[in-house]
Amino acid sequence: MTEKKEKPIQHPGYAKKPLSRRAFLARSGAAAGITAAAGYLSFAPEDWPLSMRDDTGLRSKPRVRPLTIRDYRVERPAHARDVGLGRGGTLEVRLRKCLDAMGGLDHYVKPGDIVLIKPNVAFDRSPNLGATSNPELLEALIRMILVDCRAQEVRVADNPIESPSDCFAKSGIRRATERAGGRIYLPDSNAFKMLNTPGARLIENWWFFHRPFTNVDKVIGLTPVKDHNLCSASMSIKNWYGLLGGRRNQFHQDIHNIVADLSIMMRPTLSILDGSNVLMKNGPTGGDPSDVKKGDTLLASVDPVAMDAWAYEHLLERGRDYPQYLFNAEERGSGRVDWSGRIKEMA
Amino acid sequence: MPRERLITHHKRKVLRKRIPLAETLFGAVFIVLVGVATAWVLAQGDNFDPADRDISFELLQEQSVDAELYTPPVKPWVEPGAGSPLAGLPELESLPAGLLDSGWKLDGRVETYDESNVYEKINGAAEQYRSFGFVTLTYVTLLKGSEFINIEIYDQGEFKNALGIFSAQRAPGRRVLRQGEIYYYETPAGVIGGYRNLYFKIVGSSDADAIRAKAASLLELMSDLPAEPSAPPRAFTILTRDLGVDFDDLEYRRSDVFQYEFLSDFWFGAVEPGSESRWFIHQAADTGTARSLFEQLRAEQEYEYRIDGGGDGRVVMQHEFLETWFALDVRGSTLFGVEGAATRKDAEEALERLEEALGAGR
Repeated sequence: MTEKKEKPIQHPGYAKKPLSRRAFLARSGAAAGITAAAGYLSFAPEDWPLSMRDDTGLRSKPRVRPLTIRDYRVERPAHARDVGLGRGGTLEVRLRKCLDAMGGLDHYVKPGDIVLIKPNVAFDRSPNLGATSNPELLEALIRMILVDCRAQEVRVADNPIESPSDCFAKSGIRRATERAGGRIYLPDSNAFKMLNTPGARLIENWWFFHRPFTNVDKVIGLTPVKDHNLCSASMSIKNWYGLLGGRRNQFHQDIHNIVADLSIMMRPTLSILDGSNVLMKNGPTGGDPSDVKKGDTLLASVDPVAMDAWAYEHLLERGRDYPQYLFNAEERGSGRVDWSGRIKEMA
Repeated sequence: MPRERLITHHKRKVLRKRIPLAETLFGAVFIVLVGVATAWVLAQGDNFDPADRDISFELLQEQSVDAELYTPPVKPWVEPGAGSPLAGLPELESLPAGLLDSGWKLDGRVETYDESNVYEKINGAAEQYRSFGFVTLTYVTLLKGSEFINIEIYDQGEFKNALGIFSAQRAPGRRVLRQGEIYYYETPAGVIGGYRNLYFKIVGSSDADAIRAKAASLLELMSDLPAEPSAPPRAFTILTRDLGVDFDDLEYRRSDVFQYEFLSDFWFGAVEPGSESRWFIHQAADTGTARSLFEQLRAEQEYEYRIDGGGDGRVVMQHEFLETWFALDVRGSTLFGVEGAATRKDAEEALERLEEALGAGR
């Protein structure tokens, strides 16, 4: 036998109020008002005040709020020059020399800093071809930042042209980074954000490989010196092209302006230019080790324009007929092409 | 006494006169927790550890390299006894099966690019290939232990374009070798060369013996590639067969010849091995075009050269500053001449040799 379900007890104090005429009219009026307002918002022409009509769909198109990245530059010490030059000895010795000429790495990187290094890992080439950054140099730099400067973390990031994982593996950058204790950041489709670069002509608002820059305190570019089929030379400023996303290949139609734009998009703490393996011909991809000239020069600078000009003349051996983008970068206030009297070489 | 219930399905009314203290406290704590969590999220903003949102290296590598984008439903039919070396190796597509021997295996898959997407592979370098009639790029990587070899095969459409990009990219001083129709030079880590309409680069990760041996064996396979047979251009034949110009001293320029936009499709060959003095030949569409180009080139050269005679249709001129000699002539639809000669006599003699080879006959 089933028990009959007990009906809940009505609260003894509950009494249903009758709806007065006044209340009825007030509620009816409110309902009519809301309906009329909704009708106006929906059907009023687009240019009427408060209208929400959207025939073209443009009003409801999601708006991406561009971000800006900070200026990572650090004032150089008074006794240093804008460009530091290190020659002779091992790679690590040269690195120390050029950084000491700039006042020492510890002037730029402080204990606890998170440092991002941007090498050139554009292609899945082996390092002997000179198309990518030198992994030995990267390893030495990461160790110096972690050990000498006691940085909290070193990140290594690039958005290669080819498969990112292949490029990092075959260029030796992955192994060098992991061995030295750095962390690699590979791009994926969610790692990009719209970046606003005021004053840029081509990339005022453009997709930027942003994720590794989260909380970063210092940014260092580590670049090989290469011949470039379109802009004559790929050096420290051109290196920042590797942070762009989207259909960036279209910028090659106006390469001198895009490189100049890159010089204002990224204001790095330091730029390091590696003249150990200079790709003299068939850049930027190379393919023949004999196109690579061995050198014993390393440069560090807070003025990438001057450093690139010096490298163009002395490492690529192309005289003073500098690429147009250096002058464009100078116009945009990124540095000065004239390097004379601004270089310090450490003995 | 019936149990008090907060909400019943009969009426959405609170039926209780009092709410226990425990419930009140829990509600308050819950609201505080939600508030704290909201404040944390707002304060955190973009201030996260990016590694938390990063995709692992291994995962990216697995997915980018080994992803099989297309699986052929069935293998193509091969007549018994007419077995193609490609049969059974669909992953190699049009590449010879001999690629995979001596322990070398495919790293990833065969990649192909055309003009619309070649920038995805060689952005920055693509324009040079495009200026020589680029059609497709086939790219594959072979792997053996820690060593790897990249093979790039560029279909440049025609023999002259393949030779053109070859001569444009050849390192100075590299001796060009021949093996049947294949022309190539060796690099410390591979081989670079051409075959018919194809230009190929075999680039190893080091100069190890295994790499060099594999590069040499790959070279032999290049003639198995599906290249387009075509008769060599007349200018090429004249320079190599009739005038004896070696591959080392041969060049084809497709555009911006002498840095003039109106000049394209020129062949060059050194008068003597390694010499600065070079013959050049251009086959125009018709006599009128050849004559027009002759006049245009002559007019442009006059800005830098001083005309010093000629006659019989030809013109001989000397550079104002370099003092080298330039001779130009046109016969029928062929525009030809000599550049960079040290003396006027050298220029005229070289031009006469070229005229004889062309069968122009004065």
